[in-house]
Amino acid sequence: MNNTLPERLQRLVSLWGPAGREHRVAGALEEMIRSFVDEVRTDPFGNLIAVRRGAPGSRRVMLAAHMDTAGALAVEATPEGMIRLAPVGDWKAVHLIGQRVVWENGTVGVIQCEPGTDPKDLDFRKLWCDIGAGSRDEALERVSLGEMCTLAAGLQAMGDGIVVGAGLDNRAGCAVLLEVAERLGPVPCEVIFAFTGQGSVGARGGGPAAYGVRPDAALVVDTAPAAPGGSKAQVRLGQGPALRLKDGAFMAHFELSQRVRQVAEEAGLPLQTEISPDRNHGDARAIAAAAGGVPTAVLDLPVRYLGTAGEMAHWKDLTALADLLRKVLQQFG
Amino acid sequence: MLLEKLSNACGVSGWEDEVRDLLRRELQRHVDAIWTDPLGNLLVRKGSGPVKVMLDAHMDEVGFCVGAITPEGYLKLKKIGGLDDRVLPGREVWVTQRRIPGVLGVKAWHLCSSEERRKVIPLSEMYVDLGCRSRAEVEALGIELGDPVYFATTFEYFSDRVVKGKAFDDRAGCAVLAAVLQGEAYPGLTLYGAFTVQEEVGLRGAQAAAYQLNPDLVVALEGTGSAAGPGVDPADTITNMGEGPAISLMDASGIPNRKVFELLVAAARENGIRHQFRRFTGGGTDAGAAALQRAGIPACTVSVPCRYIHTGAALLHLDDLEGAVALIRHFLRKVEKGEFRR
Repeated sequence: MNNTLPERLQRLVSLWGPAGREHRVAGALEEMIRSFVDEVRTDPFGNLIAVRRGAPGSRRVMLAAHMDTAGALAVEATPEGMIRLAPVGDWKAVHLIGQRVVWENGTVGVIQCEPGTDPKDLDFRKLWCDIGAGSRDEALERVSLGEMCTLAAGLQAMGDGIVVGAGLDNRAGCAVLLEVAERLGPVPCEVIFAFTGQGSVGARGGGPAAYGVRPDAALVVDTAPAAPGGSKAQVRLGQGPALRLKDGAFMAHFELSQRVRQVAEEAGLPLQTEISPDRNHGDARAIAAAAGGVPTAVLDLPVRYLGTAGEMAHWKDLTALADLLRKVLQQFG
Repeated sequence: MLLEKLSNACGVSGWEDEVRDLLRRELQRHVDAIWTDPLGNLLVRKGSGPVKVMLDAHMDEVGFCVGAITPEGYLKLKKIGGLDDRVLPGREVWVTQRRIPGVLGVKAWHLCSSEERRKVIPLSEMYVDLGCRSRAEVEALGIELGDPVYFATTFEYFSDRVVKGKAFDDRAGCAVLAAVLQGEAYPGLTLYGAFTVQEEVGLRGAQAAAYQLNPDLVVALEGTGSAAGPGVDPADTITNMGEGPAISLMDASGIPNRKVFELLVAAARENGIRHQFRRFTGGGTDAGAAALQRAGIPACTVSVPCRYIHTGAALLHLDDLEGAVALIRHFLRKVEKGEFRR
């Protein structure tokens, strides 16, 4: 592992950028990737598209990672000055009690509920965000309805090679794409890095990105729940990236997936496989169906406790995924 | 009033012809082009300025279709769009665009156990009674499987400002869009009106409309829920009837484009138009579907609050309808002046 990856990830998770409000992340990514590519643009949806040109007529491969995180939306303020929230993406009320959040303008808040609330009854209607305001008017001076907050929890090292913090889904994927961009070397194809918007709320930015890019193939980098942590978890930390065979709305492109598996095997890189029950698991289904159809495969980073302030990932998985993507691209003639 | 004609017109998803014909008649004198696309969307163009704006309102309404004709001469129904079983029993309905009258029957009270009397009756246990006594009598009326079925509701005034009718979702949006198109011209804009099909079954027509018109921005005009009632927490009302048009914060289909959202809010504030926010993030609108077309299209939704939406009798306040028209007009002037920048 080189030391730019931790620095980049640290910077990326510190950026405020929930779904639909990715402008700061896009700005930082543009600056971070500019020197590795030939062209950077933002499409009308808000996706950041960075192109590393290939020889004329070469095949075009899009690497996509959503750059937003989950968050919560201010939908009302109580007479006492507490902000009422609705989730943006896959946040569970039970994971948020006592957490600190930060709003777009830097306002800090704490999420709480009535003490003694039975966790079984806990939903967003029972939560509030306390920003230290004493009245509705005071609260709305600091946070307008429609503004969003995200978890405020920085990155820390833990154990042997594990990193913990909020927003690893999917800033870790963005960091992997930067790593690929920096260390790619000569490849026989054109490579398009697409940092997409609103991946936390479903298949949104990926479709418009693929429509604009018209790639010959797409490799999506996202996250998958790692064990322990519920029946959904099929993958483990530190055992390599996971090839998503299927999710609730997407089937991996067979030939492309076989190619990824073969490259991993030949290079001796670890690869897990996974089937996601989630119908709304990021960009893949939108990309696969865009612009007449795009052969698409998904490589997920195993992450424990997705959607919480304590998301955990393993550096080995990040570097193995970056290595695998570079190897796949090297063979994409 | 056009809302009255629109509400009384019948058009579940896939059967929008009557609404489309009405809108075509009302609008053709006021626009530069009017046509129907292959999916059935009614599209109009007014002006040919440099900025392309698509205003969207869906023509279809929720209702039913005939799922079976029983040997005894009753109809079993399937839902078209989201309907609440609790408010269906005993409603009068119209079968087909010919408005053949029927009533939604349920098992008689004296035949129900005390447990059955307490539970919600699912639509599958209801039937339409047309007064027929055999399948042959039903067929003699020309009723076939798949025929549309509507709430038999006639528009009326509850007061001079509050009206009752069916299908305010989204004939309220159609009325707002028609009023904008019948009004002043915007030389700086190519203003498209998209009256779309099949919104209630998956935001379908808007996808085709936004793809082919390829506008710079989209505003969907909607009727949305207003859940205020006795004992309801003010935070749970979605919107409040009579407090102005509602600008969406987010819904299940999309996050409003920030620039479009902010320009709508500015148009309301600068012109003293009473407005509110839609304080609920469920449901979907055509804006969400349009936003994903091509390489992305900035979009937002403005709604007229409707009590008892998706039922046989909704209420809306004409201040909210007229406020929505005023808001959109001021918004278009701002877009025309170049205040929308991607």
